[in-house]
Formats: sequence, structure tokens, C-alpha cells
Amino acid sequence: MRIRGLILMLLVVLTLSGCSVTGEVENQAYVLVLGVDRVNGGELELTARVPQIGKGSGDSEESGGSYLTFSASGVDWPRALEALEQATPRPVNLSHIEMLVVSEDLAREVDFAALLNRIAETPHLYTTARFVVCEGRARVFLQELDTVIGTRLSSEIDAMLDHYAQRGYIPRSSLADACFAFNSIYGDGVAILGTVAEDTRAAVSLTDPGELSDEASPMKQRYGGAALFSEGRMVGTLGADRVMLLNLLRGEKSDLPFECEGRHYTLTPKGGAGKQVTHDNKQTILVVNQRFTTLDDICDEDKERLEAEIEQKLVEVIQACQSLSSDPFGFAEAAAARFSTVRSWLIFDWREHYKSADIRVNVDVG
Amino acid sequence: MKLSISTRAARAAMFVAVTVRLFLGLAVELPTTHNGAWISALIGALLAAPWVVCVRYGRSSGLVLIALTALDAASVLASITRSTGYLALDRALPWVLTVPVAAAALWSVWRNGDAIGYAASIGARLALLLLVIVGLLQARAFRPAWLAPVLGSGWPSILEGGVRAAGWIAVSSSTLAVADGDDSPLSRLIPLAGGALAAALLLLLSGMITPTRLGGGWLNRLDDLLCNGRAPLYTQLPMIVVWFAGLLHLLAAQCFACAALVQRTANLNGKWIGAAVVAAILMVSRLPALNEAALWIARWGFLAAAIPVAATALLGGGDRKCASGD
Amino acid sequence: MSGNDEALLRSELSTSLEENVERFKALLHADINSDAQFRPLQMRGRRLCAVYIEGMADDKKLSDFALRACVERQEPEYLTVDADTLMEKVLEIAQCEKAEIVEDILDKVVTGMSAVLIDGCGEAVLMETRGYPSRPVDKTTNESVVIGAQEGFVESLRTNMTLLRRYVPSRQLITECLSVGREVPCHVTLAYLEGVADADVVDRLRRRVMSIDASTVQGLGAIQQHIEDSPWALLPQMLQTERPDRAASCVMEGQVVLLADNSPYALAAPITLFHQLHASDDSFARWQYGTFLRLIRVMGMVVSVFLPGLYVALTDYHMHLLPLSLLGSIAEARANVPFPILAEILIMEFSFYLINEAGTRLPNQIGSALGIVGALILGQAAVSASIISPILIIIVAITGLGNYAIPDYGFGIGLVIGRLFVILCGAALGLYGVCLAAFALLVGLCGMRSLGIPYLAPIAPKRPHNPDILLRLPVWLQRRPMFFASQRARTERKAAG
Repeated sequence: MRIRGLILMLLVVLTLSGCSVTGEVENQAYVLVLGVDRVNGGELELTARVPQIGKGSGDSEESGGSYLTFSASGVDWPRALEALEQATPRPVNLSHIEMLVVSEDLAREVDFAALLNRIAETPHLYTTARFVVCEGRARVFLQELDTVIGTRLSSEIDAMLDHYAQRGYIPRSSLADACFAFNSIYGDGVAILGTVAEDTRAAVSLTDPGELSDEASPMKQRYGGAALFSEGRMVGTLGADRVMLLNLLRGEKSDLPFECEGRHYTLTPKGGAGKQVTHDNKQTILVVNQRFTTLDDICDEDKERLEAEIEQKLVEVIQACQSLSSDPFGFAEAAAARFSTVRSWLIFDWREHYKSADIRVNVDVG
Repeated sequence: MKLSISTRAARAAMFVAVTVRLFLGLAVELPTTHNGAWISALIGALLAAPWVVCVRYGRSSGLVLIALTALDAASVLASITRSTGYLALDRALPWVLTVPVAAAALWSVWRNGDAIGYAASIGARLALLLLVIVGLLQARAFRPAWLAPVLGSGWPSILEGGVRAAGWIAVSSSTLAVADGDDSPLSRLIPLAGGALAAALLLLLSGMITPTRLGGGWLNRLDDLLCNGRAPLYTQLPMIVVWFAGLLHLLAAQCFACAALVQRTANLNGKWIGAAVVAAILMVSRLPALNEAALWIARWGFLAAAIPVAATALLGGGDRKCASGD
Repeated sequence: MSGNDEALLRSELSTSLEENVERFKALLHADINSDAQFRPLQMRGRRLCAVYIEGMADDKKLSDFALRACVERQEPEYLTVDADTLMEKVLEIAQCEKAEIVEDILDKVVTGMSAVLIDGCGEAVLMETRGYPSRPVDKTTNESVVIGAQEGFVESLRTNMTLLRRYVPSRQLITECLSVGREVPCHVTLAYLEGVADADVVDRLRRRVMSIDASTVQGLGAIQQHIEDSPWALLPQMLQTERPDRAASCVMEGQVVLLADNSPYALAAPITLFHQLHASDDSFARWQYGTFLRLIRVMGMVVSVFLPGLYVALTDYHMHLLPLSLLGSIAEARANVPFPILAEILIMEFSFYLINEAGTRLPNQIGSALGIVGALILGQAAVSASIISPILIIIVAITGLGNYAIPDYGFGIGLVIGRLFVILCGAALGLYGVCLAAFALLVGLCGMRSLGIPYLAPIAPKRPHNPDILLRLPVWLQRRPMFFASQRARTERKAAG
């Protein structure tokens, strides 16, 4: 009996045709960056940036790396993906996408949330990719992508976007977060805003993303600002100068460089942004209590001016988003805590209350 | 070969089976309770407590338990296959994914109940270790705010979830019905309480990693759980191991309980019964109608399991008597 | 053996010396066997004959303390020459006994004892004259330790028993001699501490040894196969040790130790999986070091079994679970390799086993050459020829090192076979296959027993135990004997602690 059992086990293991579904690791076309555009006739165009493996490149240690860009289009997501498979002479592997770039026009479409869900549900496309909305065509954005300082494009993207997020130029945003925001009962998603300049300038614009910085850089891509969403579609942007405050309200703990009356201060947030939502005589009030510490010398008078200035800026950021009916801050999460059931929360109709909510911001610089 | 399991091993197997079954049921299969799922798990445990204390093998209760356990085991087997298909083996034939699990279940039945119970107790410890690792790796991704609204879909939904949870507990703790020897009610309740608490904790953790979403299919929920993209994917590796290992322990316990119940009814060689039971579960798991059956068990399983056991207990009169069955 | 010989063997000695000598000559095939010696002598006119096997018996001991004593005793008090007189008054050898059944005498003679047959007496005197050449007690070869006793068991059962007694100088130590094998008997000794070892366990082991029904049993290896609980299992359920200190430690913990002639090691049972991961160093070193080394061994075991399987699974099926930078390195390294990953890893594993096995068989003098060949095959040459990717060499090397960290040789080989199983499952079904394999192995382990004791106890099922399983906490916390010791010992030591 034991021998039979062993033979049965061996047969089960050895005869499994599961072996046939494997793909050798070196024979895949790993898409590092995927761009999605809406092109003529309403077709979806996919652009994939793929490392060349075996040419001392790709995502290897060889400096510079060697990449290919493939483009294909189809009437919808599955067909576009199928077309991309045809255009690429290797099985397309979407498991390691580092960045999903969507053109702004596409992101502003009414049914963009449905498309993004469709993308996120693609087998083996795990949603860890950074989510970028670019002005102009995503394809152009991708074609200009290359390593500048790093040795691999993937680590370059990671390091660069982490650096910018840390500095407060862009929000932290992943495809997963965006999809969860679109599908969940709380808040709205947010995306990194990018653009391509005609010439090479600084990769970050601290003003409007449309404007070019004068700082020199070998890159043509520029990142700066946030794309705001409401009910699953893009409704506006927030400039890089305001993203720092957006990040602060979203709970980021990075230092906040702030200029007040010609003096520069570096403020360190203490604790998270104390977001609360209260209801007073049927009026919803968004409350933010934020404390900072600073190592800079500051007198009481300046401190009060600084606090007032920060409060003013924070109110402006919130109001800007309110006007677009977008809640990227997570006030919805704070508000939902007051409700016992999903149903009562949905009946409350948060979005309507949010749009007309009063704002109270208290900043304390210690 | 006599299929037997000591009470100690049965309790360990039950603890793991209850934890995994409640989590599978409330987080993936029927997540209508949303954030209130953990309350449903605890209510289910309360409802099922008298059942767990009283369940013994009796001819009528045995037949009901065999049917329910086999159906639920088939549903678990189908779940394993589906989640495996999701995880990079989507192009493999379903049979290729199902047969090895069935072979592993058969192997564990042949190794007998103690092996299954002791393996479950080790598996639980390893899973705890892996979950701690997952927790540490993904600590930044947890969002406690997503646990609101606390009651999820509301009390009616939570109560319905509680009844379903009780049904799952009933079929997952059927190893107790075939355990050798007699143990105190308290010692039977400890694994039940532990399993329900562990499941509640896991449901809370999974609630913090993914927000409440309206709609979304089975795969979405599995995706939320195993590859949700909010943390680096390689940090999900321990979670995937815990997921598969948990389901395998659950399946092995259910297959064993089913085979042991059949043996007490038919008195045949355990090896042949084990093979027949696993083969039957394998076949049922491929039936298209299984989903409806699984839904039926989720809705009515508790009552279906509880009535014969309660009848046996009442007729027998008391805890000791219900051991004698019919 | 003919029926006539059988009858001869079971017969008692006759009073005729000639007849007895003829019987022994026939049974020992003295006409062919040149080492069967029959030395006639006289004592006060009574004829005697010493029977012994040349080489097995010590000539010097025999002539100095037996033959000379017989020939020189001519005083009147030795008028009656019989077995009792010889034992009490003549023979100057410490260990003597009387025997009258031919088979008993012959069995002893072939082991090196000498028999003195006496004319007119139906009894013979057996003298302990064993003096065959044997290896002196030396350093252990396979279980070397950094700190601690260095001597190891040898092929002589008697020496091994002495070594064990030296480490356990207790009147409670029982060394029970048994013999197994129908045609060629193998002498086995069961050693245990009376009152500490569980009587049921001792009895179970004794019954299993006695019930071995084989014509020949070649040492403890064969005995182990006959008496193990699960002979089909991959892992051994008895502990092999060539260290007397380790065997003594087992005896003191309540285990039973088996020693056998011509086996330079001992078998201890019952054991658990965790015993296989313990080494003698653990007890000699401070607890912190012992714990650390033990954890390293556990990690070595896990790595040894699962690393190659996981590598195959992750690279073949679950690329998404590898960080992109690592995936890039693997893909680049494999770009020119012509084999699929499964074939590549099997080639490497096979090469590794080959070098391992060849290294075991090679004489020490050319062992160093093997290192060079191995390094070439496994290293630079294979990579340069694009047969193997460099990362796989690292995987196999770590796996091999993990395996070498396992103190028990047999256990290590079992793990290697388990590793192949995991690799195949990983190749067939990815991580899912590895999980299935791990589950099957775990259930298999949980179902195993060693002399009826669960193999994964005291963890599963939980049993009271010292903090000396995976971690080794300070010795003053280790107050109770293992759970398989007798109830009396456990109660007494607990009370004393």
C-alpha cells in the first residue's frame, strides 16, 4: 500500500502539465513603464518600455541600460493589450510595472475609473506601480524616459519619485491606492502630475506644471504637482508648491520648508495631521490641527505670523480641492468614523457636505 | 486501518480549521458584512458553542455531518484551485491544480488524525510567525481608519454573517465528533474561542489593508488580500504561504473528519474510505452546481448540522448521553 | 546446515574427550579451517583439550594463565580434575564459566573465548581469552566537535560498553546482552538506566530486537532498519552517534542505547526530530553559544530543504514576488544558459552529490585534487561555458552548506531526498507546489514515531520538556528529564529541582 501511495504521489507530481505554463525568467519582456493614451478614433494606445535582457542592459548592473519601446493600440483594454503582445517579440510580463502613465485627456474621461479598474484587474498586473498623469501624450513621455543617474531604469524611477515625494513636489500615489480610492467608500484618489518639456530643464517645476523651470537638467520629463480626481475622473491639478501641503494633510511626515516674509523656516510636523470632521447645526466643518517643531530661531511675533500664513495656505489648498469636489486628504475617513454602518454613511452623501464644508485650521509652531 | 484522532489533536485541527474557514468565508466568499465581519465571526462562535460542546458521533447526526463536511471540503478545494489559478497558474488545467491538493489531502488522511492535528498545531505557530513578519513588513500600509464604519453593512447583515459563521464552524469542527476519548466542555470551547478570535483579528487586519469596497468579485477580494499592491509584492510572500497552508490544513481536517465519520458508519478499511472520500470531494469540487451548494451550506449549514445533534442530545439527555448517539 | 549438525549442536557434552573433540572438529570444520585449534594437555594424568580460534583468542593469555596453570598443578588437592576444580583452583583467568551444551560452547569459542574439554567430565570450562586485534579508541571521524571529549566508539562491543560505563558510572546502568541473527549471530547490547528509562520503552525495544527474523544481521545499520517504526520514512527514527559522551547523555535522559559488535557507533531511541539537530558541542558550550549554533543548524535545515525549490518556483512562476533588481540580475545571468531552470538546478545538484560522494570514497591523499575538480566544475568553468548561471551556484552552495550543518549523516541524506521532492513540486506547480510539498512533509513528520514516541514531540504534541529543544537555555533551567523517561524519574528530578 505504501509503495502504491508513493508511486501515486510521484505520478501526480511528474505528470503534471503545470510545467507547461512556465516562462523562463530571461525570456520575458518585463514592462517597466506602461503608458496609456486615447488616440484617433477613440482607440487605446499602449506604450511599453521594456529592458533588453542579455545585452548587458536592461535592468542589469550595466550602466545606462538598454531599453526598447513598443506601442500598440486597440479599441479597448483587452484588445490593446493583445496588440501589444503582438508587437512585442517576447511574452509581455506586466508583473513589474514601475510606473503607469496615463494621458491627462484620458484621465479626464467620464468612464476613466472603469478603465483603470479594468487595467488593475489584468492578470499578473500587480498594482504596485506609481500612478502618473501626464500632460500631452503618454507615449512621448515614455520615449524620453531613460536613466540619468541610476544604473537601472526601475531603481531610477523609484529613487527619483521617492526623492520628489520626500521633498514634497509630488504626492505619493500608486495604482493600488488610486483604484482603492475609486472603488472604496472613502475619499478620492490622487496621481503624480508629469509633463514633457521641449528642452531639458529641471525635472521639477515648483510652479505650474505647464511652466518650465530655468534650472538645467539632462531630463525632459518634469514631475511636479498632483492630479486631483473626483468620482473616478480627473477634475483638476494642484501645483507643486501646494503638493507639500497636500502631502502634509495626507499624513506625510516630511519636513516642510516654508517662506514667510522673506525668511525661510524648516518645519517638522509633530504627529499626523489631526483631521476631524464635525457637524454644527447641519453645517459640516473640516478641522485640521497641525503642530510643528522647528530648530530655527523664531520670536513670538514671527511665530504668530508664520502660523497664520501656514493656516492660510492650508485653507487655500483645501478650498481648491473643495471647489473641484475632490477629497484627496482623507477627510472622508475621519467623517466615516462617526457612522456605524456603510448604509448610513452613503445616505449622508459625504461629497455634498464636503463641498460646502467650513474649514478650521489650527497650526501651532513649537 | 482505523481512522482515529486524539482529543488533543482534534482540538488543534479544529482551531486551525475554524480560523481559516471563518476567514475564507467572511473575507473572501461572502464579504457582505464588510467591516462588521469580525463581529459576525464572534457571534458565529457564540451560536456554535453549544453545538461544539455537544457534538458526538451518532448515526443520524453522522450522516448529516458527512454530507455537510464533504460539500464544504469540496468548496474549500475549489477555493484553493481558484486562488492558485489566480496566482500565476491561471493557464494550468483545473485538474492539474486540483489533483495534487487532493493527493496531499489523501496522504494526510492516510497518516491519520494525530498527524493532521499535530501538523495543524505546528502550522498555526508558523503562520503566527509569518503573520508577524507580514505585519512588520507592511506596518506602514495598515490604515486603521478603514475599519470605519464599524458595523459595516449593519446588524442584520452581521447577524446573517453570524449564522453563516456558525455553519462554517459546525462543519469545521466535525473532527471533534470523531475524536477518541471524552473531554470537558471547556476544553472543547477553548479551540472554538481561539479560532474565532484569531479569525476576528485576521479580519480586522485585512480590513486595515484594504478599504471597504462596494461590489467587486471573488478575485478582487483575493487580490486585495494577497497582492494588493499597497506594499512591495515580495513582502506578500509569507502571506501567500499562510493562505495556502491554512487552506490545506482546513481541507485535510475536513477530509479526515468525513472519512472517519464514514468509517464509523460503514466500518470499512480506513485507507479505502479515505481514498473514496477524497475522490468524491475531488469530483464534487469540479461540479458547476457546487457554488449553490456552498451558498446553501453557508446559509443553512448551521441549522442542518445543529438539529440532529440537538435531537441526539435531547433524546440522550445531557452531555454524556449525547456521546452515545442514537 | 545438515540435520546431523543440528542434532550435534543441541547435544550435551559426553564424558569422552575423544568424542567431544571429534564433535567440535566436525562442527568447526577443523580439517579445512586452519585457525581452529585443539591443544591437548594433561593434568595429573587426566587428559584435557583446549579449543580456541587462533587470532580470536589471545595466545599469551591462554598459555600463561590457563595452559601453564593446568600443566604445573600436580599437587594432591588437584586429584579430582573436573570443571569446578579447574575454575576454582587452577585457572588464573578472571572470567570463566561452565557450559555443557555444544552450541553454547561453540558460539563462545568463535567469538574468541577458549574452552577446556575434560576427559570423563560432561562439562567444559569457557575462559575469557578474547584478544583479537582491534582499533584503539581514537578521535571521532564524523562527529567532531570543537570543544568537548574527542574519543569515539570503536568496532569492539566490549570496548564500547566500557566507554559507555566510563561516562555513566552508575549502578543503575544496565547493559543487557542480546544476540540476533539465525546463522551468523550479532551481539547487541541494550544500555539504559534502570528507573530512568521507561520500562515500556525498554521492553518495546527489546521485543523488537528479539523479533528480528534474519539469518544474518550486519551491525547496527541492519538492526535499525529492522526495528524502526516507519522504515519507509525519509528520516531516521533513531539517532546514530559515534560519541560515547553523546550516547551517555542519551542514556541519562532516559533513552535506550543499542551497541553492537563491529559497529563503531551507537543507536539511541526514542528520539525526536530535534535530537537530530543537537550536537555534542551544544552541551559543552555556554548556553548562548549553544543556542546560536542550534538556530544556525535549524536555518541550515530549512534552507537545505526549501531554498532550491523556492528558487525554481519563484523564477519559473512568481517573478512578481522577486524584487525587480534581483529579477534583473537573475535574468541577465541566465541569458546565455541553454537549459531550463529545472534542468540547470538538477544538473548542479547532481554534480554536487557526485563530488560529495566521490569525496567520501577518495583516499585522503588525493582528496585535495577533488576540491580543485569540484571547484572547477561547480565554479568558473561551468559559468564560463554558460552551462550554469552564477546565481545558481550560490543557491546550490548555500544549500550544500546548510546540509553540512546537520550533525546527523543519515538525517542529512534524508533531507537531500526531501529537497529533490520540493524542487520537483516547485517546478511543477510553483509556490503552490512548494506549499503542498511542505504540507506533505509536515504531515509525514507528524505521523512518524520513534519507539512509539511522536517524532515532533514535545512541540506537537506538546509535552513537558526542558528549554532544550530549538533553543538551549542555561543548564540550571534544565531540571526535568525528557518526557519519554519513566514517570518516577520525572517526579524525582522535578522534586529535586
